[in-house]
Amino acid sequence: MNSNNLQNLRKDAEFSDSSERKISEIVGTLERVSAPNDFNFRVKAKIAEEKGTSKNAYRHWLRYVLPVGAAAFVLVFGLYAFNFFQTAVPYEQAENVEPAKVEEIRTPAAEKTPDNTFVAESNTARTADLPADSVIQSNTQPKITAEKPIFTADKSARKKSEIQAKNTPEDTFKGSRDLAREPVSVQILPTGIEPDKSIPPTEGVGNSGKTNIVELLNFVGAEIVTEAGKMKVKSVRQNTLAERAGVKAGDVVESFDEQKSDGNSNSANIGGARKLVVSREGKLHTFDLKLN
Amino acid sequence: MALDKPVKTDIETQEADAAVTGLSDHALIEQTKSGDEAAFAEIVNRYRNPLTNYLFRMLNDYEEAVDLAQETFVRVFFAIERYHTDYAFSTYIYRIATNLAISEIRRRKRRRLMSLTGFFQNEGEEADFHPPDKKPLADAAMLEDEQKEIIARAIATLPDKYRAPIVLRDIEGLSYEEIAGVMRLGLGTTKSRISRARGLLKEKLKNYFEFEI
Repeated sequence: MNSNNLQNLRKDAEFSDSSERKISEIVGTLERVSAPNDFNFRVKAKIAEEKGTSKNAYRHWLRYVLPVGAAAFVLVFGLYAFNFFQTAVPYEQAENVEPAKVEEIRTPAAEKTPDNTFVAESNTARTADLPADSVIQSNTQPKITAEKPIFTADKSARKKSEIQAKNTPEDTFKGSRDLAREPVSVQILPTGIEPDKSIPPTEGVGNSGKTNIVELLNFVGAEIVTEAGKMKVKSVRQNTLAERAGVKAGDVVESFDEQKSDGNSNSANIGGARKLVVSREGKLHTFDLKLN
Repeated sequence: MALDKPVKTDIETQEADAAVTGLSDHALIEQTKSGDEAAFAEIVNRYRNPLTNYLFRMLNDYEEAVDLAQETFVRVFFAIERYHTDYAFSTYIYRIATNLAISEIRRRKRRRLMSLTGFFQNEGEEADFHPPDKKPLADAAMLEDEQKEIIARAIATLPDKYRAPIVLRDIEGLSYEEIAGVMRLGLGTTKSRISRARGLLKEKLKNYFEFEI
């Protein structure tokens, strides 16, 4: 900036008074400083340093990402610790508090059992405060006959309550979790028996309500038709007990379990081994049908 | 804006390309965008002394002023693709320098506040994380009398919003319009702040100078 321009600027009518002009002149008398000789070299060095993108990325990581990650970790850990201690505190407090004090803490609706076990107020106790329609809905739900105590006065009482909870009768209400814990009894049926398939009534025999030979043989896989007072195997289903025993279509049933097959004999017992005698091409064949 | 061209040393003359010395600022910017390092070196040569002087008057610390001037050129280099020729380059580069200077001033204020709340500070004992530069200033030799040093320190104690306009106006010689562009203020506000800065300086220097009332 040359001095003529500065002087011209100061000649402008920009000063409100002479003191302001003098201040401007005093400030203008300050000598100017210059940059050092290695200024250009240092600028080039800084630019080269800044061009190291990997180093810059590392700096950004340290400056921004790392603190944010650390804060997020502390927040998550704090929430976890808060939940952990929040659930643990009531249980520990209950051990140290005397029974009388516990009774004071409890709500008036809480029930007191003889063994100093305090049962939490059940949902059904609050139905009086609810609207009428909601009470009706709550009555339709299974009735809760026993509730697990939440706070116990001492360890012995707590153990008693746990034992009582274990000895709860089976007719009490159980949730899905309780049902899932119980072992499921699996009934193993002999091969060839289809438990889901209902036995169709045999033609000509009728459904008297009792299990007869026709129904039994049909049950094991041999379909029986009655011709001229004799039972004849019409067909044998595959992968059934009758097929594995060797019964074939066209066999005429002579006896079953040492009972003559007159088409009306009843056999109420289907357990154990059965001996089936059929005539095939004039010869008698005996098959052992092990139903169980 | 006419700026004083710095006197080049022999080494700097070798670095600068003679073909770019006569080009305008915008032409140099365009050549720098195309990868011409000599064009950028010419920009540095043109503005390094005005920027250093401006920052020195803002901060009253020569080493810090040199560092911030270099940082200004680094920022210009990396943001040169985003530079638009709608404004004068001088306005653009002074704005960057002003922002850096104000940031540094605020950082110093924060350090001063921290020192007030220091745990290991005894009562009555002044502790400063950024101690004042006790050594002679680089231009102290050029300040022949005490008055100039007093003026420099008085300017350095002005608030940010008054310090930059008066330095740009009375030391760097920028026009009101250019100062308004640098400070991103209206023309009236700029004039008002410069006048207010002169009034504050008058109050600070009234014990050293005689002013007509």
